[in-house]
Amino acid sequence: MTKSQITNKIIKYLVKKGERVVWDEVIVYDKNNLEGETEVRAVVEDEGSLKLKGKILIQKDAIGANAFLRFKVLLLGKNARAEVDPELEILTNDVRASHAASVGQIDLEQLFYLMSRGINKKESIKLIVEAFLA
Amino acid sequence: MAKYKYGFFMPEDNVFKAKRGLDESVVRIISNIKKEPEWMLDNRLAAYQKFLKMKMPSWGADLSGIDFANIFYYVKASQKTEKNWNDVPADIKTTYDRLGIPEAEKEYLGGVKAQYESEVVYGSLMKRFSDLGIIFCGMDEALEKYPKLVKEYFGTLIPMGDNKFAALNTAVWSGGSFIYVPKNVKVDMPLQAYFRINSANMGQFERTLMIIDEGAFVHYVEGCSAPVYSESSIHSAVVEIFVKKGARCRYTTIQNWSTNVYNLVTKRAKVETDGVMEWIDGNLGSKITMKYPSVVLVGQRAHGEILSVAVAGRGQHQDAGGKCIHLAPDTTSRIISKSISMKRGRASYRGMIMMAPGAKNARSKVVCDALILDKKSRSDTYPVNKINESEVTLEHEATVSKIGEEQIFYLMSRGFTDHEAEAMIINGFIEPIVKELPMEYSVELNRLINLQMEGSVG
Repeated sequence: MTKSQITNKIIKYLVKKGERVVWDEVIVYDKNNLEGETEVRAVVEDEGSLKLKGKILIQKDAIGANAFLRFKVLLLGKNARAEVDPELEILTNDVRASHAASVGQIDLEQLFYLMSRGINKKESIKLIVEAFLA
Repeated sequence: MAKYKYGFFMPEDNVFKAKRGLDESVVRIISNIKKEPEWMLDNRLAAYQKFLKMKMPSWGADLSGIDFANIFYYVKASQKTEKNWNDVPADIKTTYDRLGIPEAEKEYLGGVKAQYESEVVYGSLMKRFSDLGIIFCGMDEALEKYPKLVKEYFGTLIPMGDNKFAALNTAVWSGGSFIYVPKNVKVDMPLQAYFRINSANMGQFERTLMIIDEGAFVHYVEGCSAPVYSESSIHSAVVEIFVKKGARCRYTTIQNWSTNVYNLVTKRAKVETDGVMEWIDGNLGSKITMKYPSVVLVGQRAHGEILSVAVAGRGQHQDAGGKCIHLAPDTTSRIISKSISMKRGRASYRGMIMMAPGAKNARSKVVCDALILDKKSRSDTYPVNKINESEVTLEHEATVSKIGEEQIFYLMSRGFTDHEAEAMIINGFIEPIVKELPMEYSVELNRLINLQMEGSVG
């Protein structure tokens, strides 16, 4: 677990076959009027394993904080695994804090579209993954 | 006699009261008084050993205030355990008045009457249920009359070693409901715990077992939204529900224990193919609540739904949420949690979604919204989402905020006071869950939250 500064950032992972990636961070808001948005995007290939654990902690004296944390995970292979635990600890009221997490597969319509343009399946998946992590 | 927070004493004319604290002899005495079969006594004793060995859960709310040695684990009430109405705390009485609760019910809720005088009203209902083949009785009675059925299911979904409080409940349980709904029987009105007249149903260690056979439907309502005064500082129930193929069960709880109570409850439902389980869970009272109704989806296309409302006021920590375990393909689940913290209260959402390998096309959506009404209050969200199958969809979102100033301003510009405006916004906030409650409950819930809010910062 690392403690990070408040910044707007996007973190990207491509979890390859047989890999395990763990992201564990507490984002601390401890001063007035801090704003931050953190996004983690990850693609997990077959037999890859990912854990995302992120906490937004808004301290008592962090008035006016506006915090957002988003996890977006794409599972590619049959045995891709993911655990997403977005947490909030909010100790005061004049704030707004949200998180969102989604775990899913490649959109079949996107895949169909690319393949209908003559791109083979493997290449199509590659394009979609690249766009997702772009 | 220890003096409880509200200055109550245990009435002296109980038929039987086990000694304070817990040891093997207390467990034996409880079983003996109930004239239980041997297997249940063995079960209790084994659970007691488990209870001793297991550690207190340290991952959630602060439970260090529980003094296990200072609790009565079994009190068998006589017909004459009526307390004096004058002894009921004034704030609870005021709440009853303002909720407009009828006199007879007030006395029952305040613990003045050991029984709700409802024989005339509910006798005919009970007959209607039994004509349909529905079994609806106390657990003690069920153990006596339907021992095979009880033995087949008891403790199979929540084993005694599940957690420390499940072990405690298994060792000392008394009271609770037993429900069996036969195949394809659809019960058109909610079964409510207080229909059952000849047993105290708001015990400390209730044990409830429900079996909803194939294609059947039942809605069970437990608790009540009016404050329930309890002399004991711990309430630890276990509820096991078996939803068979194509059946549907809805279980509604509104908990409003007095604020001296630790409310630590384990609730779980097993749902077979095409079955539907819905938990509607409202937590208003108690000092600390830890309760995460769970749905285990074992059959294809089974669906689980958990709607949870928590209100944490002064001195309260509501640690509530839900769990959905997807073990079969095409299973779906939804959790909606709404919490309100005020007056230094703390509301936490704690939940889990687990998708096992092979649960193809499982879908789950979790939405947690929290309102914090003042700057001394606190709100947390602790979700765990374990996805062990790639062909699934999971969505989770949570938001914590205060009431928007522009919303308050808008309503005040229309002539409402700040308090009215706040109350309206909160009623709107919990509306998605309140609308699922039986009408009389939703009306009371809204009124209660308004009452609790009085004096909170506008």
